[in-house]
Amino acid sequence: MEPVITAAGLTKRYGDTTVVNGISLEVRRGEIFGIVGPNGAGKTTTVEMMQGLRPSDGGSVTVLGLEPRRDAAELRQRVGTQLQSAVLPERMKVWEALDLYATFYRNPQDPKALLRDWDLTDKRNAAFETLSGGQRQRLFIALALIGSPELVFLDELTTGLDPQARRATWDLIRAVRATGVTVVLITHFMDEAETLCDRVAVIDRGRVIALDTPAALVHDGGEQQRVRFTAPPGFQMHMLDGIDGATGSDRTGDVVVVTGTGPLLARVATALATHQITPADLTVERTNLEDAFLALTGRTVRS
Amino acid sequence: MTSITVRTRSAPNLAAVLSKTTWVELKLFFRDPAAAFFTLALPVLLLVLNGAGGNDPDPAFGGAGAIDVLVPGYIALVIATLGLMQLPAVLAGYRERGVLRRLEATPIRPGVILVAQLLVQGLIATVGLIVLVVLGMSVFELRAPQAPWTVLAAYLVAVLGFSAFGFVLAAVLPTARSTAAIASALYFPMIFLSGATWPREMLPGWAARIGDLLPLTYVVEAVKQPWIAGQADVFAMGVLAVMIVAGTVLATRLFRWA
Repeated sequence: MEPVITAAGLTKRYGDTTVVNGISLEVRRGEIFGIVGPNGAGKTTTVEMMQGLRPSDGGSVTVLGLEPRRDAAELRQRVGTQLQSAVLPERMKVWEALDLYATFYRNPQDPKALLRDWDLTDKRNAAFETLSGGQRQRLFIALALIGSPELVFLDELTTGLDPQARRATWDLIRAVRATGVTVVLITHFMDEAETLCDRVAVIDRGRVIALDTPAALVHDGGEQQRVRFTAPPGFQMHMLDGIDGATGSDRTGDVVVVTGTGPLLARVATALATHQITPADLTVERTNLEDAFLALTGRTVRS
Repeated sequence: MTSITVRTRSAPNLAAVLSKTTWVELKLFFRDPAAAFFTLALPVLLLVLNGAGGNDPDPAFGGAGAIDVLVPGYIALVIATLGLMQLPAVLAGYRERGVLRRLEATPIRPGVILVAQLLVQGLIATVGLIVLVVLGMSVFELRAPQAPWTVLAAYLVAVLGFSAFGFVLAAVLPTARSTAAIASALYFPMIFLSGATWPREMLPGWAARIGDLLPLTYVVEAVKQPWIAGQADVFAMGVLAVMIVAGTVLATRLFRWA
């Protein structure tokens, strides 16, 4: 099947700074495709070029078989968008926004049905400025879907939401995909990408540094585990020397972390037991996309 | 009959988009009490306060009455408030908050919202005009305009000229805050020195000479001359026409969506 998005060598420069440096990727129909990376990695600029909102300085991009800049009007009929830091007029009411945006599309969805689907019926007469963060996000998703799109771009949808609202938004994104819409999700939250996305492109400094399923990316990162415990009285770091598969250990205050591969938890417990040390809170953490990013770039996502 | 969803290939109806956008923008205007007050209620309040002296012919106004001179000024005041205070504030706010950016991602050219703003300007100015004329004629003995069609033409040219002015301000000023500051700095001296709030004939000579340099003076004159003297003020109309052309050229070149 023809990919929904094909980018090849996509490049964008501002003066001397190359913010997008030869990005190539394909998005398949019906998937949730994640574009992840730290703030300033070039994620938003990349999707803005895919939407025809910015011209590229090199490379090519095809979206739904269309060229975004040349076929902008047709593309925007078929693509829904939630933009980072884009809002509505403060005093515009929820139903007015949906009613207005519905006139922009040749095949609009019923605003009433969208209000119901996204749990906004009670808020239909509320002014935009009075909505909570979660309500705004639901309205933005509804607006992205009003034109019955085949593809939606959701840019940093959960930034600024509390953990509960974030999880609720994740369910909404899954609900969008369940209707057959392809979703491109831009985020700097690695847990979000790992939970939601079928495939993820990791972008750093304007380049795709990895592109695969979240599970494969974590595996490529070395399938690292972390064993964590609170140092009991009598514990000394040298007691951890010589553990098979351990690649490092670190102590911050009373918290000790051992990283490595294999049956690490059992081996750490055994090594401590030989010194009559039994920590009360020995736990193991599998590595996640955040660790994979660290392994790929040598930096944390937020640095 | 079974109902089926048909994917039509026709473009969205531009007239429907424009009328809906204009209607929503009009509602948004009236939801902002400060904007509605300054634009529509203030001129009426000024007429009520300053109209008590009656409209007897006065040699100071070349035989016209005070009301005959004040009302064209207040019509100009409505036009100036819309063009200098309302339009740039709305557009700069929309740009700063990403409203225009969001529209860019729809199939509709965001220029539609500029046209809608222009229509809103015209509609609200017309409401102001009608209120002032009806109140003036029914309560304050305002005389009917000598050349009503010329007055109407002057009014339209003035609305377009000051809207163009507003679009240029919104285009060149970087933030909503600076737009509000600069627009106020232009607006307040202008409404006092142009004859919009106080008859030019009663200003000291130096103030009237400053007024000669202000575009709002030519709105007042373009509306007032056909009203009280029955003839077009060709020079004033020319100044406003130049504003329309220059403003449109500048605004279309300089306007930024984000």
